Amino acid sequence: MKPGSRLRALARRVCSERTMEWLIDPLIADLQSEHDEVSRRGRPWADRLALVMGYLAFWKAVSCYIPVRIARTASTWPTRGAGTVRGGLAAATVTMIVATTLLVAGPLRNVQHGGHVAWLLVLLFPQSLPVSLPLVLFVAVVHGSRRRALTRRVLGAVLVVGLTATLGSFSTINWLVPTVNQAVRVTVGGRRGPRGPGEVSPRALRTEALAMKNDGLAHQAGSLLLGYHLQWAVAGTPLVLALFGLAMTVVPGGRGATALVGSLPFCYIIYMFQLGSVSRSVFSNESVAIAAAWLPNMILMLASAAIITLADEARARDGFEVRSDS
Amino acid sequence: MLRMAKRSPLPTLPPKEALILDLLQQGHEMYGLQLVAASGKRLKRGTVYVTLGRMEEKGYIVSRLESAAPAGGGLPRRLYETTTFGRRVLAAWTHIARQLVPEMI
Repeated sequence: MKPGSRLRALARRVCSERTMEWLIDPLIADLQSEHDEVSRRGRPWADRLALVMGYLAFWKAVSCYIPVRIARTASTWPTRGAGTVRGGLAAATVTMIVATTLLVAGPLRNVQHGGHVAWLLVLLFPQSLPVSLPLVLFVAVVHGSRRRALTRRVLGAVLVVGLTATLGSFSTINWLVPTVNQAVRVTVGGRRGPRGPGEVSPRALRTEALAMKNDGLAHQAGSLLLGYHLQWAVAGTPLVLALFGLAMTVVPGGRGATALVGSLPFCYIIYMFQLGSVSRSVFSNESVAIAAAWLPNMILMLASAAIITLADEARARDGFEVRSDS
Repeated sequence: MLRMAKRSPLPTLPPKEALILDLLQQGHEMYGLQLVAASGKRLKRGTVYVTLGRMEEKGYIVSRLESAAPAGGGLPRRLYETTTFGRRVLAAWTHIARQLVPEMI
């Protein structure tokens, strides 16, 4: 198999024929030609380096292309849907304001702000993002997808937005929050403090957890291992809730079923609060920590897949189905 | 009453596109990696194809697949060359730039 063939097959699943023609195929063709040329010279290390550079170029090209694709999709969005999109944006904005206010009010009340309220609000805002962002996305998708046929284009747009928000959430949890936490400490206490478990890199957190487990400190190890897996699970929540929001718009069976399904995100929040009351030593077993952190996401993903499939089957006879855009 | 004239779709030429047009004028048909190599690290292989696609949409360049399949198999490479319009845009851009900042050209 020629190098790049698997990447090309993967790209073919998600990219249009035109994108394959002007972006993916020229890139893969150049990668294969360069690989052949370097292979003929008989230098294995150069051969591997060329492949790595080619694969990096592929992912860079794809990541450069995604914003272009989003802009094009937005500019060609049907005019009849503009009102729905505006409604979705308005609902998302209200959700963002309410969620941020609720999440920021508590910490702000508990610190001696000393007249730095505005600055502390700015610093505490990123801390609320990992929770508010998935909620905002969920509300925006539910509003934006109402009365819209569930086409592959809509599904693709939700996936792209969900993935982008997930990347943003991951960056916020791992880089932005630790930085602003220190800034809050400096503003409130006048000096930097030691970093907490949620403020170190995932790798450092896991290494520390495993070291504690080896030392027989099951409670502390469990706490850190759960924290480590929660960092990944919470970062993945925007994508999960975006897809769930899409599924909410096509729940078959009327309002009762919609209300029942719509209560699942609230169960998610209750579950997360309940997780705090479970003994941490249980999570020193990594499988248990993974299951505990990912269970809500898995349930929501499975529910979304089941709802979309059921809706597609139930309404296929009425001409409603997940279909390809022409 | 004077009304603001509707914005005309004047062709734009960002520096990277100007560089690609310049390289293609010198070297006739070139493929993506050739352009990256000829640019002396000013073009990156991860972004050059997006730029080439955009330039093709603007009508500055045209492309075709190489006629002979590569010796080792695999996909045929895509070769790019400038259009008359692309050459005119580059000439106009160079002329304007020379008028505005002669010492920079």
